[in-house]
Amino acid sequence: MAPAGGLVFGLPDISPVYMDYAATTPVADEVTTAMVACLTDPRAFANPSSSHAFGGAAQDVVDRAANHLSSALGAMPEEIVWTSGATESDNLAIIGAARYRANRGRHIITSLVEHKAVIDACRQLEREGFEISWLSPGRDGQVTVAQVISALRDDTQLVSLMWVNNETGVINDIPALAAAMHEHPAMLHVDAAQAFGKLPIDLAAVPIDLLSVTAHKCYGPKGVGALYLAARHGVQVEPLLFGGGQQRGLRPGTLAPHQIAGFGAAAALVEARLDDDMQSMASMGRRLEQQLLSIDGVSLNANAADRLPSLINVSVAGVAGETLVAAMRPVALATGSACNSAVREPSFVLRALGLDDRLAAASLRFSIGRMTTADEVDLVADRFRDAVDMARRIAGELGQVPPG
Amino acid sequence: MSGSAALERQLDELRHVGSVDRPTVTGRAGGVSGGSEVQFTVKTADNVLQQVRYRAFGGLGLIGGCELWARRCEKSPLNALPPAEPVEWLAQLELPREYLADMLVVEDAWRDVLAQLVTQ
Repeated sequence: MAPAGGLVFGLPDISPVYMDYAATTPVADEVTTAMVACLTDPRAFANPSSSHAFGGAAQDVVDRAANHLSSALGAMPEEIVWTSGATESDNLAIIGAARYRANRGRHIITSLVEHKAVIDACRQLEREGFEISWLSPGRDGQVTVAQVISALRDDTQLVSLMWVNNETGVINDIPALAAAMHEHPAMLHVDAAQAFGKLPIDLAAVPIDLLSVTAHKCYGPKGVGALYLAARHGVQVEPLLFGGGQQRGLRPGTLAPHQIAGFGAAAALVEARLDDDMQSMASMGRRLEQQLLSIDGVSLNANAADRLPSLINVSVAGVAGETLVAAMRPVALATGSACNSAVREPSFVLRALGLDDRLAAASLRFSIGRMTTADEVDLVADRFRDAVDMARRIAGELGQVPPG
Repeated sequence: MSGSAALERQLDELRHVGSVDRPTVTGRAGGVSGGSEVQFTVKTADNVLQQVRYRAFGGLGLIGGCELWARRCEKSPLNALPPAEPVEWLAQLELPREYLADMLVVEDAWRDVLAQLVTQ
């Protein structure tokens, strides 16, 4: 991570540009309006579980939001459990389902490139005596249906796979996987945090058992997410929290109607704008990708055929990652490594794809959103070219040394 | 890692990045595969360190340390070179001790320069 404030390397000043939509999104105006309306409603402040008229008003807000979200997902409102976000949804789905069905088998399948919320939930289950099969994606970043099917065993009770990878944008073929698993009793959990709002999701057509989503990745507020539990499959989970009995005891605690209203409004926007959003993000993504990849030594990480065009993860040969990241600082984007004091730890996802540590550290993730303009794309591409030049100037021939 | 304002000032104007044309000596330390490498090239004339340039592959602390040191010793008489003190560089750059490893690579590269100057 670069030091806070100011510029480095004397590169020209540019206006800050947000290109980290895969991390989180700004709140849409419609969402703010829905949340403020809820917060300022003289009755909707109440506890939705209360039986009085005030509680009824708050419950109406929650019900409307459940209608919006379930409609956007092709689900039914009663299949939605509100959570604090995708991390909680993933935990509830994986740990809750595994514990509930532990007597039917203790084998779980997931991949090495899942979000930490899935990986760490699986690691917890390992500590509880479950056996996890960790699938390794191909160099293109994809986990194939064949890989999952060949890992299935009689005692497999859960498969957890992300729809879209948050670092590479690679899309797993979830509809094909769901169809292929149809005859097997194992449940399928899908982390759709990155997919919702960027891909069509129709749970009426795709037999997924559990699906995690979150509001803040689709222009809703932070602090609210949802877990879909397929009613038609009789999916049950053991709760992770206790007390109060709300949401059928699956996720107790007083609901936050204003947060849920925000998620509902964001989901309504997803449903209304999905085609337009996909078209616009694809167009901007291609424009950016073309410019980035025209620079010598810049390569696309996880070049799967099926990939979100709005998420571009590139590595740059011959430069130190930290220099590159610092030079790109006016642009908000994600880097290929996590900062821990002065030590930079390369991304475990990129390492799992076979990148060496140097290339993984010298990688950047650009993610485009609903608000991204062509001017922003061009500005960022120009800055990237300057940053790569600067990083190469500093490293000189040292950066050309092949890894030992 | 938060870096520091002093490091940032150093990085804002990297006047000594590059290589000296036909250097008197070249000093190296570290390795790219290990994550940090520094190369100093220097030119001497009339018993003065006329030009100091560096290449650095690594973190911002490493680059800051190289720039700080190159600025400080360029134009110094060879018989009155400032002492290389990595801990003092940390203080100058207002960096925590986690960056000492970077400074030690800079120091090692500089010692390589000195060793070669002595044998000339």
